[in-house]
Amino acid sequence: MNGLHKALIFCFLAIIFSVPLSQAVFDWRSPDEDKPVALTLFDHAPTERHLREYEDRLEKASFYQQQLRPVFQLYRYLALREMGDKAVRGLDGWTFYRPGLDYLVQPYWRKHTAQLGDNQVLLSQRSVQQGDPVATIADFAAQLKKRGVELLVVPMPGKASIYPDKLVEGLKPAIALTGHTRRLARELRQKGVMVFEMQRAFVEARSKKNCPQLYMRSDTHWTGHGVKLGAEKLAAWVKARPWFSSLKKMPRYTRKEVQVERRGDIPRMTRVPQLEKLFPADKVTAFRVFHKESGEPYEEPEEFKDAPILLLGDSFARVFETDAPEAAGVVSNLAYELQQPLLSIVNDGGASTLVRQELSREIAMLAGKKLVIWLFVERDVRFGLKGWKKFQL
Amino acid sequence: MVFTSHIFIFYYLPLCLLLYYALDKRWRNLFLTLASYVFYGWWKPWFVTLMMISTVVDYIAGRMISAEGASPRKRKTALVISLISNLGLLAVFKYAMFAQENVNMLLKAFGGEGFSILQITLPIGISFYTFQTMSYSIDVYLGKAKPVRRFIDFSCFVALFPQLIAGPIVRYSTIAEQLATRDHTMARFSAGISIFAIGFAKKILLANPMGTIADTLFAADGPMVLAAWFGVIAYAFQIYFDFSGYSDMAIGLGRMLGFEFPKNFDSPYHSQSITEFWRRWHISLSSWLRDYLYLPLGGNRKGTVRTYINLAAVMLFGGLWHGAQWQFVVWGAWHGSILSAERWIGKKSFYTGLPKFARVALTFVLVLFSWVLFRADNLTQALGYMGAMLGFATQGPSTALLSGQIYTLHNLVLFALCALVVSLKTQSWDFALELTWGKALTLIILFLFALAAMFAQSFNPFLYFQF
Repeated sequence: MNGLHKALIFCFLAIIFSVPLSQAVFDWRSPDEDKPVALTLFDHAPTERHLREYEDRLEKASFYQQQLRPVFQLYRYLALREMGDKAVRGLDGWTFYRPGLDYLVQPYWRKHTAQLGDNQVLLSQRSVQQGDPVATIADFAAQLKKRGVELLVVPMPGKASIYPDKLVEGLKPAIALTGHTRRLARELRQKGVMVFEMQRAFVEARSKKNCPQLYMRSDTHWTGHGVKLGAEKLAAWVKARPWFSSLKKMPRYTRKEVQVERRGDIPRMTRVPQLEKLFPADKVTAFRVFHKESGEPYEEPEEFKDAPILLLGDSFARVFETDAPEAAGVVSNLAYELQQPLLSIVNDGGASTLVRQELSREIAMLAGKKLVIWLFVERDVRFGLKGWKKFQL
Repeated sequence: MVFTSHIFIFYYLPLCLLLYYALDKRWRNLFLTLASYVFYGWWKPWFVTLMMISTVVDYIAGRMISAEGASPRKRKTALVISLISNLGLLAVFKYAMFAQENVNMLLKAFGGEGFSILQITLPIGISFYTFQTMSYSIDVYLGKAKPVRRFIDFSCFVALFPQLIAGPIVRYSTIAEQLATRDHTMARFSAGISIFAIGFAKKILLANPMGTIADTLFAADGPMVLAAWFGVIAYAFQIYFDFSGYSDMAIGLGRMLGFEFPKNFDSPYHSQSITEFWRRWHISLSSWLRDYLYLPLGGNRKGTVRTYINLAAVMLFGGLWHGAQWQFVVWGAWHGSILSAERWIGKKSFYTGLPKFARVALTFVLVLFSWVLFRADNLTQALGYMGAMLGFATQGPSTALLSGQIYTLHNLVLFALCALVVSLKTQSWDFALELTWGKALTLIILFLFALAAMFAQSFNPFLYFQF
């Protein structure tokens, strides 16, 4: 019996002692560290901030954490199809971004904030600090109006809003599923803000036979067909504006179909390369735009005043535009549909605040503008990076 | 510091064990006290001073109470000082914000202007260590415990890191002798490892995944009936494996250091009544409330009506002990009412006449409704969620999408596993006590597997840290 106790004690102590000791050896041998990370505890006074930083540093530098985390996550996925904190596996190899789902299934942002009493403030700082998107957007529209510029707000539907049938068997795409975004549009219109409800166009398109795939299977974003559809619908709206007929019209751009292979960003969020490989790249048709005269891929004009429209956007405006194949994103395709040059400010995940902050720093971009199109993914209403801060233009 | 963290498992614990066993026995309590201060101060260093104040006040109070020739008045004064200082700490750090909010609400209700609420951070574990130190003063006053002689022993009792933050609530009389002298045997150490490993696995492998399901469903906009039940049962599993996991780890660590802490859980979801549930759930708290509140109030010795009042008062207090929010008060009232009802119904009722399975199921359902109060952010949300469980909730526009998020293979398998573990007759305590080679191997594999899972999880503190 004593042997049993000794064996158990030995195994346990071997585990808890070998990890820090071997880690110290790794650190010593690493060219990036001049001493074991564990000893950096004494580099600073033991304040709350330094202790948290130290703990984070220790975990990030851990050889065992780096080696075992991906293995565990991979086998967990293989056994139980679990993708971790950020991703949800749907049907037929489709994957979904969890915050996008949270936006849809949790209460509308206004109800969510109202539910938090004062005593929840400390527990839910993030929600409270998000700010009021409706008030911020209305304020931005009013500031632009003073400068003679119109604002069109375009909340982009997340993948689950358009492809619910790829998450839950038997569920059909329906405008009823996009209630939060429709409510946002209603509230914005009540404040005099123009809104383009992209989800209506997409849900309608999906109801038709032979609708091409509008979103990628393992990526949060739209396909080339989705981009094209979005650009067409936006262009139709813009062309109906009274000022559009006064713009100088000339054929500026041409468009060509290209095939692109794109590895999805959702499996990448697992930070497990072997798991990423289990999801084949999406083979997507993209629509690439070229300058008619030079034959060069679309580029924005050098002179700000030459473009009548400025597009503020997030990663939905980045895909295929600055990513491969380039000049095939919504900016280029909208320019093609309108045959007018466009300017853009794009920030991944930062369309709620950061793009306006950038605009306020480079206000000259508004020169010659008739319209600002502000495109952001619908989940940013709740989870936008840096919330919804107001800025003076 | 959290037991299920990289820094605790791989740095704090090995270093602590190494130094503890390297030191001569007479220095060990001093070392444990200092190590416990590091453990506690790791979150917010200055909160250690609060614990030190509590320690000094209660030590002095204990000395004054037990001083030779001390008059009854002096002894009572010392006890009152101890109670005021401990309850005062709780009042300021735990209940001041709650009081401010309610005053504010009343002011606004009567047309007045509210004031901005002073934000106070709750020091983790304050409810646990203040109860422990209070029990010392009370026991010494009542003559149930001998006063501690060495200040360092008392400091060690108050700060002892294994059970400092989330219990079990250890009374001084329970470990008084162990503070003075305790045996360090291989059998005790290996039993400690076994219980610790089981607790660790419970928290990492069962409680945390169940927490994700519960979080999703409690945050949802009007979940459907089945989903609402799925969510609250997941929460019942989460809180049980989280809290009993912590208690197991605390008991296990205690044994590694030569201490024997009392059992804190005894298969609570096997209970056939709420009365029985409170004999099996958080045993150290329910026995504390019984001995230091229910019995001094008169218990069941002062007539039927008074008994019901006492039960209700104790449970209301128990609710408030858990958190300074109205839903905890209602949670306490819910349990108090059922306890009173069970006492009133007596043994010859329809309820007690039911088959065992039905009684266990009914008790579990009653507990589930109380867990809704426990988990919800506020009373409004709790009532909304109960409505969803009964089919009265208005679903949000995209509620249908929830099923794709929650009924995944991973969630269903782990949910079933939790149900299986909960239904087992053998609990961690029994499993760990009679060690065999097979069990030892299982435990080491389980521990390694849980460690790998810990690496893949984000920061996930214990639920009872907030109390």
